[in-house]
This record gives sequence, structure tokens and C-alpha cells, in this order.
Amino acid sequence: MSSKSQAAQAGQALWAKMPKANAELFALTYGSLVTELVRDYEDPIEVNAQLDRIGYSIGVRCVDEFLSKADVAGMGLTTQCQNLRDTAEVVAKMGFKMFLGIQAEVGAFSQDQRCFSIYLQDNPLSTFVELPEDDPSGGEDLRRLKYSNLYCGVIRGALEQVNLKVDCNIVRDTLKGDELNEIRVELKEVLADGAGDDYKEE
Amino acid sequence: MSLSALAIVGRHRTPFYMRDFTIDADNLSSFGIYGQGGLSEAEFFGDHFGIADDEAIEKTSSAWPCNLHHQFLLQAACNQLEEALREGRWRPNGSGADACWVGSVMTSDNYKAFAYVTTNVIYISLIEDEIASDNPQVLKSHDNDLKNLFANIHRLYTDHLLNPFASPNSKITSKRFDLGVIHLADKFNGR
Repeated sequence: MSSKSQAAQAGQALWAKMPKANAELFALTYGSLVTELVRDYEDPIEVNAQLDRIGYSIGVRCVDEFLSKADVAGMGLTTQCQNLRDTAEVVAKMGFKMFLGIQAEVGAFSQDQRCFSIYLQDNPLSTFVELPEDDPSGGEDLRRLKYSNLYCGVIRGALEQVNLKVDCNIVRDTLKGDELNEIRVELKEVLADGAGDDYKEE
Repeated sequence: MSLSALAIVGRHRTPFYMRDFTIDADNLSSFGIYGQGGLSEAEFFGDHFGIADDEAIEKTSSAWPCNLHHQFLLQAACNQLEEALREGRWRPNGSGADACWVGSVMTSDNYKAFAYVTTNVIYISLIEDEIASDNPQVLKSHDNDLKNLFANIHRLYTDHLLNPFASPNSKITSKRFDLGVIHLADKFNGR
């Protein structure tokens, strides 16, 4: 499919233009964010929800930058995504590439074309991380912590700004022993453009 | 020559990690490393010190996967090293691994203890020498092998510290670190 390779190439070009940061510093910053949250909230489910919220606020801001830069890379307003498949390609090949520099794959499209999965081979957020073993003295089970839940929030926030309401979940995690990271994205609904009605009133 | 035990000690003499690597440690005087249920030394010699003592022994020795004999030797070596550092008998010179290398700090039976000092962590290893050698060449290569071993363990330690869930002042409970050290020890012992 030409759109696939087009997205990959555009992603590469965008990544080249972005300012780079030190990967270790990035991973350590995220690591201390997560451990602070764990210390504050203690319940791993609550921490997952907080990470999702933090990711959401990152996503709503990133998407505008992405769309403005994507114009330059040849994937602007004129070449809109026709369906969820295109959206998935853009998010994985261009979005993840541009902001994190990693190659993400899409797959596992559902029958009704409303769900898909994003696969990440390596995860820059979880370099050096090892989830602690079960605390025998009865501490919280950190196995239920979704360390990279930030990604779910970012995807959710970004797609909501373009009127796609989605639900994201991490289904496979290398920190828990799986071979790769998998994020499952499900389209809940396509929102109608809100601003249009207000303008019409006046 | 083989590595019998390793201790990693932080500031204020707090131990982060103590482990021994000999095969017979598992059979004879192990107090049940990883649930092996070895004979306690009390039973081995036919004495019976009472249940309370057995439990106390069980507790202290299961705190570290290292039998008591080795623990005592490691502690003694640590004392010697602390004294030497305090009296200024050793100064770092050279660069890299050479700067951190202290050398032999204690000899006991057929065990020798070697130390490697980094900014805030001390590594002490117990080496069992079957054949003592006076040949300086052999001693030098012996020292170099140990220096490399310590440098690798130090690298593993820094990697472990980068884990956000690891606290710099507490016991090292990471499986990854443990497996890494065992692997290095096996390579060193030629197993």
C-alpha cells in the first residue's frame, strides 16, 4: 500500500527535524514520575488512571504540533485519513516516529474495522526498568501496574482532538515478560464537530 | 582459584548484597537457600539447641543467600578494609578499574579476600585458592581477572541503580542483577 510507505517516509522526515533529547534522562524522568505516583496513590489501578490522564493532556497538545509539522512532510489537510486504517498508520508510523523515534507497527484490525493494535518492539520509557517482585510483607501488587500507560492517554487525547473518541489499553508488556508491547485501540464513536453549530446560531 | 562469595557494601557499612557461589555450600551448611531445606549446622553435629535458636539461625541466614562462615569472613574483610582506608594506607592511583582496585585485604585458611572500592560502594570477594603461587606473572594475571570481574559487577550495579523502582540505600532484590552476578561468577570459575 502506498500510503503505508508514504507514512513511514514522512515519519522519518519528521523525526529528522525534531530536536532530540537524551534517552537516559527521558527514561529516568518518567521512571521517577511513576515511582512518585506509586508512592502517592499506592494502588496500581489508580496509578494507571493517573498516567492515562497525564498522557491525555500530553496528547491534546502534541496533536496540534503533529498536524502542523505533518503539512510540511506532505501529509497535510489535503490528504485526510479516509478510514480508521489510515489513521492507525499515521499514528504508528508518523506519530510515534516523530515524537519518540521508534518504529511502531499496526495490525490486528477487527472485523468491523473499529479496533486495531499498535506494536512497539522497544519502549524508550522502560529502559532499565524492572518491576519489583511481589512484596511478601503484603505490599501492593505492582504486577498490575501498566508502566507505559502514558501512551494510552496520549493516543486517546490526540485522537479526541480530531473527533475520534477511542479507548486504549495496554494488552502486552515487555516488563511483564511478553516479547513486545501491544496497545489495543478501539473506536468508540466519531464525534460531530461542536464549534460549527455555535457559529451557525449567530 | 574460584570465587566463593561476594559482598556489596554501601556507606555506613550497610550491606546491599551478599552471596556465595560454591556448589558445596548448597549441600552441607546451607540453611535452605531458595527452599533447598539443607541441614542446619546444629543438626549436622548432633546437637539440638532448641527451637528458638533454630528459628533465629534460620532467619538471619535466610536474610542473605550466603552461609554464615562466608558471611563472617566477608565482614572481617570489610573491617580490615575500613581500617586500611581510614588510616590512609591505600590511595587510588591509575585510572578506571585500576584506580578502584585495592587488592588483598585479608587472608584466612585458604580464602583470600579482595576489595574494589568505588565512590560510595565497596565490593569484597572471597577467593578460594587451591594452589598458592609465588610466580609474579600468575599473580598479575590473577589480579587482572579479578579486576575485570569487579568492573563487570560494578557495571551491573549501575544498571540496577537506573531502575526507578530500586532504592540506592536498600538491599538489592533484583532478579536481573542476581542472575547477572551468578553468570559472571560462573564464567570466572570456569563452569
